[in-house]
Amino acid sequence: MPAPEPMRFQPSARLQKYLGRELISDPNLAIIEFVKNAYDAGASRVEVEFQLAKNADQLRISDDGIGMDEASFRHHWLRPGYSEKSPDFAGKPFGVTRRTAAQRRRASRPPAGEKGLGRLAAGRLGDRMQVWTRPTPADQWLHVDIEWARFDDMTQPMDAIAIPFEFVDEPGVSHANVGTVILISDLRQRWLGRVPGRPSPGRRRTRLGRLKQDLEFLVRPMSDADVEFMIELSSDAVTDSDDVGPITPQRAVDASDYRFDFVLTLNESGEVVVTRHLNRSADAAKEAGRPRSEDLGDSVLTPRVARESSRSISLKSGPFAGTFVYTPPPAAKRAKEIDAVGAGVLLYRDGILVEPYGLPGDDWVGVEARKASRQGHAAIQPATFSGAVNITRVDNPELEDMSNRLGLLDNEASEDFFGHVQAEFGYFENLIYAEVVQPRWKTMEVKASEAAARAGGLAAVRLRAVAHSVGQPVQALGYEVVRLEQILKRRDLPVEVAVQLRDIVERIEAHLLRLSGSVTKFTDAPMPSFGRASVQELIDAAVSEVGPFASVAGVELRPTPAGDDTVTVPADLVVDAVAELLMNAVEADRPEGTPGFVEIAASSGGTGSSSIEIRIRDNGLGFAHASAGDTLTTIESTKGRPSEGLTVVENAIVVSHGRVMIESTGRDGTVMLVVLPKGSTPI
Amino acid sequence: MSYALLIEDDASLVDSLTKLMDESGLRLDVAMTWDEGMARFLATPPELVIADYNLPGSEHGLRLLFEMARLRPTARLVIASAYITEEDVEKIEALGLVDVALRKIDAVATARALVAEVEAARDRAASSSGTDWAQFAEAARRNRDVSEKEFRELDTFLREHRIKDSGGKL
Repeated sequence: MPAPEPMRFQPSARLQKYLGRELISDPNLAIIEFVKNAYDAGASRVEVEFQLAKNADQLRISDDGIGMDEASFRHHWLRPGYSEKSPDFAGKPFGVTRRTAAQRRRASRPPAGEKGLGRLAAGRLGDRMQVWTRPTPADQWLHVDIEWARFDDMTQPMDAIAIPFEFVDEPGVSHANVGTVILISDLRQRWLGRVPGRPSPGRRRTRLGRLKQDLEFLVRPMSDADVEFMIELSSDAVTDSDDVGPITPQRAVDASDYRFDFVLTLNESGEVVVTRHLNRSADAAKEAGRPRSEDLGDSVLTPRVARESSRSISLKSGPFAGTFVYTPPPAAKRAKEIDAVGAGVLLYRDGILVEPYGLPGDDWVGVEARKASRQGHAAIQPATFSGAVNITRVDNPELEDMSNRLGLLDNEASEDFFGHVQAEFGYFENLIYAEVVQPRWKTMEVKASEAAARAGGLAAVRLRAVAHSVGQPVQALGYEVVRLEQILKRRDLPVEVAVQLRDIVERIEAHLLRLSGSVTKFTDAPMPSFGRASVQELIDAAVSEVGPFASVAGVELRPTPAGDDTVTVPADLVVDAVAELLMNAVEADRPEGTPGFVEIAASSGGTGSSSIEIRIRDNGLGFAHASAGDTLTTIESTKGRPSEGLTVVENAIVVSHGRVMIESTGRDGTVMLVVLPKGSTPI
Repeated sequence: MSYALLIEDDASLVDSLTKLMDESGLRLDVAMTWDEGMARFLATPPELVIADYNLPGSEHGLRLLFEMARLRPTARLVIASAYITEEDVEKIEALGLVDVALRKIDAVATARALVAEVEAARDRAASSSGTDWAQFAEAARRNRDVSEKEFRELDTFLREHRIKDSGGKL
């Protein structure tokens, strides 16, 4: 009897949709996968070109890497999940073995992409992908045409979908002499324009600008390896001219916030001298109040200094130099998403990478150890920390490379060497801690304290308003009690009823007295203090509070610059009130499919006017039961009573000596008008 | 003939107070706005006007009471409010235009005080045999001596720092 057919997985064609389109949520990451592939293919130049000006959007990614023939394409490209760059691969690499320039570059580079899923990511970018590739100028171009929609049939196994291919003399698109060209058409998203929502600190505002920034993160760690690799990002239409241009490792380093260079040498007396220099980006210099280029001086390693920094007082390793490059959060979060190439401090001996130092999983510099010493609060976030240390056979003969990916030979020189590098990292880490981390924590503490004070002020306003609203029915009860007293005077009232009623009246009077006392206490709650405040700053603070919510809701906030106007108000109350109005505008119901936006603009109330008008306009569907000129307390919430949030807004603005109302409302949206006094006289 | 006029816009308070007055055998005329109050004051000159301070149209503030005091200096004016402080009461009464400024702190005591005021107004109306011109002249002279500037400053201060500091009317 023949053996039963073994069980086998038969992946559905639709699996590519999940692995490619849906696994990669960010289209930038899809493009980065292709750039990584080009880097791993030994490319010296990658062109990422967008054609966006005409109706048919296209994206071309072209490299001068090793290219592929048909066999290599079938072996590598058509096997998702297979990657000879993976650390799990143990065989001989398949493919062309000619010793071309691309092959030599490929051999010298630590692998960037290793999961073998990059090509499926093209489905995230566009509906159609065409590939042209060839390994030598003598070969024809292999042209493969993939339409992702054909893979959406889950009843078909993946390998049942035939992919058309041919050989052509010319690709018909711009290309290098050899290598690979990818053309993605029917792009799935808009690449022109700004990213909606509140500006993210440290991130560029335009879509192409963010892609350029992500590519800079990707290549920055390559800088000190003198890697011959450049990305040219271009587009026939741009929102900002800075969105495109060449991206090289050196430019990417220049764009990072901190670059720390150190050199260890011996002076004439045989003492170890450490020379340090720090470069800051313009933003980092401004935030820290320090110069862009700062010479940190020469430091002689005395026994005390060496002891305190846990390093050797000698330089048995020989002289060497190194560089650390760092960009503090929030960029760190983004770089982690990109899985930046070679994040870590790489070690080069005569320009050749010494594995495993600085490669994923290796922490020879001691980043994690420093983090532990700060009880988990790392000053350096590894994702955007990188660098390189350079040694040579001539200067560092005792530092021998075992050449089997296991690092340097273990001896006194290497022990010396590691101690010095780790100590320099410690020095740099302390510098970042003092200059970046501590001031930011202080800012966060101050902000938290301010937010608490604002919450207290608004609560006091609310308390007073509630107290007054309670006071009215309490007074009415007082009238009813005295009315009962009058009824008690009726001669026809049975005695026993009169006695009971009198008792009840006395009890109610006592309760009312207590209640009135409490109401009086609440009406005496402390009031917020008035001061001159910049209208621009008030609006910025409110927009900043609401920004994250708007971003999540997919609603764009569009503040207009407010100029130099000032108002005399309790600033915290006004910020909270305006923020509440913005939130309402963000949450306004809109027709399905309509991109939401909220505009906020300030203007002087007219020549000689004593007030500033702030208008908040949304493109929602308007209030059903309110009209122009109405105060906010007329607006019903979904519970059929005045919306509490808007009631508080009205209270806060009135307390601020201003006024607020609905200027207009309808199917085209709502405009809220806030009027605030410039001077100390209320509106 | 009406002898007491209440100017108050809160319908529940008006209902409770008028029922109290009915039970007490007293008559109370009611106006819900300042303008209506002034019209009734002119049409049926009462002995007593009781006014809530924070009313729609209260940008007039104390001004209407000032006008009433000028028109009929012998009318007794009582202002009742939850917004004013003890210090405000002293200033208002010191001006001499308003006879009593009642703070609505103790609800029952306020109700009893208002009943007493209306009773007294009823008794004055009943015992009156026409305008006492001497009394009228004396009151007019007293009101004339009230500094308008001082009055206006107090009025402005109360509107800005009592009504608005309370977040306006809910």
